[in-house]
Amino acid sequence: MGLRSGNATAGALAMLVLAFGLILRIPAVVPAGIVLVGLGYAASLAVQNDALDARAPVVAAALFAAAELGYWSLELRDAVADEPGAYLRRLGLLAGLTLGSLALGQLLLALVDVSERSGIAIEAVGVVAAVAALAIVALASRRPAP
Amino acid sequence: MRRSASPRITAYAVLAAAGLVGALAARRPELAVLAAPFAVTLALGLRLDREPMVGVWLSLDRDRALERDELPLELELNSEAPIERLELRLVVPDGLQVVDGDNPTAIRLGRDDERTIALTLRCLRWGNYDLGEIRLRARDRFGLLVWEQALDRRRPLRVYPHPETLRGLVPPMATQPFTGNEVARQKGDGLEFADLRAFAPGDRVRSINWRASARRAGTGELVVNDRHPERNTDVILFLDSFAEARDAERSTLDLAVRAASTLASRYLERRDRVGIVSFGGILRWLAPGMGIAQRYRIVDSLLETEIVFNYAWKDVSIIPSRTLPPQALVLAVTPLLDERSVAALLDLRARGYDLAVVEVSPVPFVRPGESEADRLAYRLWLLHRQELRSRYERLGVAVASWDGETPLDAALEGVRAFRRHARLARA
Repeated sequence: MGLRSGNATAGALAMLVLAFGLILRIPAVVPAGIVLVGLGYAASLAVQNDALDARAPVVAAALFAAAELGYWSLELRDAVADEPGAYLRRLGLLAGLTLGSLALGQLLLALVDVSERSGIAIEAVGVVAAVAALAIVALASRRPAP
Repeated sequence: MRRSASPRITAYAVLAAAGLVGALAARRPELAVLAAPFAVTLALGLRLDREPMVGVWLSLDRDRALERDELPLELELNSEAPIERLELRLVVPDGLQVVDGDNPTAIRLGRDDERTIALTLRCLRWGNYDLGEIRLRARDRFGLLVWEQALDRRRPLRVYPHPETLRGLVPPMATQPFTGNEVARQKGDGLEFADLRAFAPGDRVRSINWRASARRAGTGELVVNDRHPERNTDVILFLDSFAEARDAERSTLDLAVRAASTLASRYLERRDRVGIVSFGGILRWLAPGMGIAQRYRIVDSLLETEIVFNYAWKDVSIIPSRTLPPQALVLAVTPLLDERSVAALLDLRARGYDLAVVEVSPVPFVRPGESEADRLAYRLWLLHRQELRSRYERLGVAVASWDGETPLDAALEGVRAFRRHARLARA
């Protein structure tokens, strides 16, 4: 009961932060809201047993869709008239990306499931993940060529 | 094009890194699953990033227009590579307004795609415009990177003042020696009958009034008709550009330029010589001339008129003398707001110039304040303006007030009526 109420509080707080940021047009609140929900989910994982949570791909896809929708709503605040059909195309892309996220999550979980949970494999995945994260941050922060 | 990262790229990088590091620290692969969509989107977006190559051309239907005209404009675009979302904004200067079409607009361009965006502009105010500053912003498929570019496709656009309807003009007191449409006060060869007089050697036989001569048969004297010749006139438009009263939509200078342009065109149509003196922070002048070329010179000169604040005292002595020929009609278009132009006009009158004033009234632009003191100040200001007009009228200068709402012709009728009575009084 305590875990559920904690998750609900985190979700409500994230929603408030997101709504506040969207009204005031602050893009930084989108990742802040996602992080809040993610922290709630991580806390729920911490009190669970060691079994893999099968809901993780769904949570990942939902968080990704929420982030995309948040940025989309920020972009819509710009007074730029879109040509007919633009929203449908965007919705299609968003649906595709969300479904892709779901599939990717399932694939990752399946990969982890078949490997040894407590062996060297999980450590290797973690190291690769950390290196990948650093590489992504470096790629993102590189300066464009003049 | 200049590339920059959207806020999404930093956010996704942070979320991916946090999820992956969290998975490692907490030893929970589910957190890596949460991070995966953000990381994969980021990697794909950066990998597929290409600089957009967009060509933009602007075409205007014409480069000259009148106030209130609507002007079609086309923006042609092409792109070698597909662009998911291209935002395009044509910077429209103040005085022009987009009345049809979307600006800014966002479109999607495919490979080797060509598109045409049609806009319609309405010319709200006269002036010289440079139209064609175009801002482009392209986004990739994932909205991670933004490419921006400002293009200069400027095309000059001249918007001429909308002409007012005039039925008559202010006739000058004196005419010039050249043929024109104005009936001169002098006597000579012409169409308009002036008087009868006794025949003198050199008079043409066809000018003898045989009926009048017959009536004076007893005296044996022949009588001839005298006529008024048709002559042209010199008109100097004196445009006061020291100060203006303005609200959000219009100003006394806008109205003054419109009136001056109309008057210049109408006088030039009558074969009069028209010159212009723009008397203000910057002194501009155009020596009197006639014809269609002079009309364009005057209107182009008017388009460059602007209020330039200047505290230096200026009087008529700085105006080149050839700009103010003798016996010219000086038609001042002024809001009568600046002491320097008021004094200059009085000086011109004192020097014997035939002067008439079209006062572009600043009163509609001024609202009386809320307090009693404000309302009193407003009434005093109105009284001061009335006294100023009376001062001109005592000197024989007609002053007509025009507010832009009533026809200019009605204001000029006031000038004509005053000058008719002034002639009678002198007679």
